[in-house]
Amino acid sequence: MSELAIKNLHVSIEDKEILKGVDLIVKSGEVHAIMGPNGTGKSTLASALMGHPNYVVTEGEVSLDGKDLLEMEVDERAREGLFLAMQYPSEVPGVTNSDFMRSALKAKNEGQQVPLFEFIGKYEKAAKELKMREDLPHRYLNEGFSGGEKKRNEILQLKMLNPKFAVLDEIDSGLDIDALRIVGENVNGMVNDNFGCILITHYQRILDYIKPTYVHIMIDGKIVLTGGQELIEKIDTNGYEWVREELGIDFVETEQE
Amino acid sequence: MHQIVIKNHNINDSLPLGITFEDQKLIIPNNTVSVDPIKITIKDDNNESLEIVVGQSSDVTIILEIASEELEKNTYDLNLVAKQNSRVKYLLVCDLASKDAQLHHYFTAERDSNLDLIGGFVSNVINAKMNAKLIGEGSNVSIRAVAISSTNNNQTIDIELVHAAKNSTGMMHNIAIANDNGKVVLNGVEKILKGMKNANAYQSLKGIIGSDKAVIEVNPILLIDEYDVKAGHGATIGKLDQNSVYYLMSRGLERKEAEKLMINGFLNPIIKEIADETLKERFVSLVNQRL
Repeated sequence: MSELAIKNLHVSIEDKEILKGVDLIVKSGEVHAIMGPNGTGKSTLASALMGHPNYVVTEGEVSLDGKDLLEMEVDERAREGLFLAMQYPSEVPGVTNSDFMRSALKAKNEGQQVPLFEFIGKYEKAAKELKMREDLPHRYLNEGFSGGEKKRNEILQLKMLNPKFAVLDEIDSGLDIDALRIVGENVNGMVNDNFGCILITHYQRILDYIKPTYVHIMIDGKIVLTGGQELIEKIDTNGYEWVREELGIDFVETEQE
Repeated sequence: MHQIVIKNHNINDSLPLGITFEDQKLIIPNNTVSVDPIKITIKDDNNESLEIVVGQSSDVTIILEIASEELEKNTYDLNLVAKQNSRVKYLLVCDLASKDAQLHHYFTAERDSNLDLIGGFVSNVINAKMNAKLIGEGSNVSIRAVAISSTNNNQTIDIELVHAAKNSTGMMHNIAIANDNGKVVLNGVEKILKGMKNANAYQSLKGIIGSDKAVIEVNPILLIDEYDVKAGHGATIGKLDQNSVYYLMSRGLERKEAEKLMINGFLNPIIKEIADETLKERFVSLVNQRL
């Protein structure tokens, strides 16, 4: 049983404060959906947790099983058991998916190389479950991949690395219904007593496949409301306008950066 | 692999494949076909000249390794002549500790010969030139050079292709990488002389800067004195994409490992073209010693 604890997190980009005090505790076995209008800081939370250099934490704490994540480099956070499925994964020419994945597994296993035969078996199985093309291991990392392939490749990496916690940043955006189902079912299949997940989305469709334990609504850099699945339905039918009225919060929906 | 070691201008062991050595001239006889690479090592001779002649219709793979710990002035004068209809795959490894090294390597491509030349430069301070002259019709030369400089290294690499024959094809793809305060100057020159119709020339130069103190200069030059030719060139210099570094690190790779993987990816188009496995392995281990 692990715990990811976020306390009073404030994050700025280029001196502009985006997160204004986020509190959240995620335990293994739980799925936390974070929903909210565009431009309210959901993706900032994801990037700040992973340690993207452009995001500056100005206040607050993040710990994984008591260890201070904010003190760590990006790669150390990953080896500690945090995974971020990115909204826009990079394309890396010349680096094949299999070389990359083997290096990542080696890093995770403290420099111990996974035997090639075992690796191939595991990789092929995961690729099949995500319905990836058969030549995937030899293709360059995300280069020339369609949007859906990139997202599925994120989940493939997630399955291979098997972290304690995953943050899925809009893993459902731009997916067609088949890809959405494949991604949803694969993530749902991962949730167990040793794995917890933060699911960032502003659509409801993915939540047909992954049932969240908690639903949080984030507005203007803060979590303003926490509840169960009943919130999803409410957002589905009414949008976010009611939040403004019920909680008396004023916000402007902005374009994604 | 056939091994030939030249020390103090001499070869002590017996030579394979009927190869002869006299007056600093190594002659590979006509019609020699060898799948096994011929590895020539020049050991700690800081003033060496060597000519390699590949006989008519021969088909060989050669690795020339020049390595020296000597810090004094080093001068190397090398020449390879590919006779008619010969095919040569060639890897030049240049790993000199000298603070003042000069290397001139000339190549001559006769009629219908095919030269596939790869240069790996991991020297300290060097001025190196690879100059290939296409003197026979239908000759074909491809040069791929990679220079990697790290702490206090300063390498100037001139790659030159001269078309002195009609229907000749010359390509060069060169990559410079500089880490720490290393410096690489990479000059690519391709000349097509007057009257050399239907010559084909292409060059690309790329530079990757690994740190704020590193310096890379690339100069692509095409000098064409004939109308009926095809020619093209391109040059780019850039830093490693920091978003990609972040992406790889987010999967647990240390920054150094992530950068190494990306640079190897960058070199991959050159590496994967090396058909010979021995050459490929040697080249990969050579470039990785400085990453």
